[in-house]
Amino acid sequence: MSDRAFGRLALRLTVLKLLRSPVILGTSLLLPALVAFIWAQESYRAGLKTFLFLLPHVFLVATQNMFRGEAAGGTLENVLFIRGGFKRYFLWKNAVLSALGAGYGLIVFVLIRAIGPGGFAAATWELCGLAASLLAGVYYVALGGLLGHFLAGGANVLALFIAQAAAFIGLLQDAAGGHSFLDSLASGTISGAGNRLKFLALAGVFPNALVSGPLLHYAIGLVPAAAFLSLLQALFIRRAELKGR
Amino acid sequence: MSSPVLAVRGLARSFGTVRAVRDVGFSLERGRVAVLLGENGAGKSTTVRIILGFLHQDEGEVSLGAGAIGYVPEQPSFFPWASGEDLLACTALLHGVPQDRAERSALEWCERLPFPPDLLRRRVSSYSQGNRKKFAYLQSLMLSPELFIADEPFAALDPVSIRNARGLFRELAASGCTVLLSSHLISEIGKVYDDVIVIHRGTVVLRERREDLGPGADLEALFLQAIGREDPRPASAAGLEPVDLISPSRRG
Repeated sequence: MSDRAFGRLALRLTVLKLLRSPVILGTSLLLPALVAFIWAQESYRAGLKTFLFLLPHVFLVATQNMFRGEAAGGTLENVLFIRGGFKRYFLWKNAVLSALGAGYGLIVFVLIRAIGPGGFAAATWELCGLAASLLAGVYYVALGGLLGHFLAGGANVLALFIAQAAAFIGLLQDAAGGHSFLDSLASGTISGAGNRLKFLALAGVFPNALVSGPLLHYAIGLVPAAAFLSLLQALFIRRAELKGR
Repeated sequence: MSSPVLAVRGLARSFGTVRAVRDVGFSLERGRVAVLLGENGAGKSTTVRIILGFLHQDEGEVSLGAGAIGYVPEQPSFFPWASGEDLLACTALLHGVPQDRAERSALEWCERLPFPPDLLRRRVSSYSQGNRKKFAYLQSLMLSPELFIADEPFAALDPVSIRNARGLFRELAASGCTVLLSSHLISEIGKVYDDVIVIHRGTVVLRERREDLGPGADLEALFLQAIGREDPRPASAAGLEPVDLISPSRRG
C-alpha cells in the first residue's frame, strides 16, 4: 500500500472519529458561540482575540484518545493495519489532525472576518495572531500526540490542563511575591535566566500565551518545538508494537 | 515448485526473560490450508503477530510473496464509533478497490457467510461476538486475499457458521489462496488442513503434509505425540502412523 493510501485512510478515519466525538464536536461549536457572545457583549476585537486565544485548545482536545487507547484496545489488530500499517496510520494522524484543526480555524476566521468590520480585508495583527494561533495548535497536536502514546483516553489532555493550572498558580504566586516575571511578560522582554526558564516552561505547557500581545514574536519558536516533538513521536511510533489485549 | 507465499526463517522473540518463540521456520505453498497447532502459550499467536507486522522479531525473517492479505483475529475489536459500512469503505479505500465493486463484493460475502447486511449500518462494536467475528471475515474476504490468516478461526462462531467457515477455507484454497489457521480446535481443524505445523514451547516440533501422514491419520494423536504427551486412547483407535518429528536441520 502506498503512503498516500494510508494518508487517505488516516484522513477518513480521523474525520469520522472527530465528527462522532461529542466532546470534540461540542468544543468546536462552543468556541464560535463564545466568540459571538463576547463580540455582542464587548467588541469585534475582543471576540476575535478570544477566538485566536482559544483556538489552539481545539487542536489539543482533538488529540484525546488518538494513540494509546487504539493501540492497547485491540482496534488496530485489523486487516487495515497489518504489515506495519498501524505505524503509517499513526504517523499520518498527526499531520491530519493539524490539517483539520487548521482548516477549522481558517473557516471560522474567514466567517468572523466576513461578518466583521471591513469585510474580508484582515488587519496585520489579525493575520499574525491567526498564524501564531495555528502554530500553537500544531504544537499542541505534537505535544498532546506524544503524551497520547503514554496516557490513554483523554488523560493526555487532562495532564496538560493540570500543567496549565499549575502554571497559572505559579504566575499568581509570582505576582503575589512581587517578582518581575509578570511585568516581563507584559512588556514582551524576558530578561534574566530565571525569567527565561519560567517563560519556556509557561510557553511549553500554554503556548496560547504567545498568540497575541507583546509575546507574539516568540510564537515562531513553536515551529522547531513542534518539529522536535513530532520527531520524538515518530521515533516512538517506529518502535511501537501491538502486543494484544 | 512455485515460490512460497509465506516463508518464515529462524524467527525468535523474547518478552523480558521469556523466550516466546525461537528458531521458528516454515513455508506455505499456494492453494493449501496450513494449521498452526500448539498448547496455550506455545508461541502460535506471537508467530502470527510477527508475520502480520504487529510485533517485531528479535531474529529471523518473514518473506511474504502474497498480494492482498486477509486477517481475522481471535477476538476482533473495532473502533467504537465506526459502522460496518464505514470500515468496509475504509478497507476498499486503502486497497484501491472501487466503491461500487467493494459494495457488490461485501453483499455477496454477506450472503455466503451468512451475515445480515442490515447490520452494516450499525456500529460494529454493538454486534454480538459472533457477528463481529463474521464481520472480520467479511472485511478480509472482500479483498480477495492471496494469503488468509485466522487466529482461532472458529472462536465465537455457531455450529452452522463453523461448518460454513470450514467450507470457506477449502473454497479459498481451491481458488489459489493460501490459508493459515492458528487454532486449538483440533476436531475442526482436522477436517480442513493440508499441512500441519506444531509449535511447542516456542519452537516448531512437527511439520507435515497431510498426504504424507497416511490415510486415517489422527491429528490429535499426532499433536500429542509431537509435544511429548501420551494419547490416552489405544494406538489402534488413534490410527497412528509413525510420526516424523522434525529434526533441527529441517527447521527453518
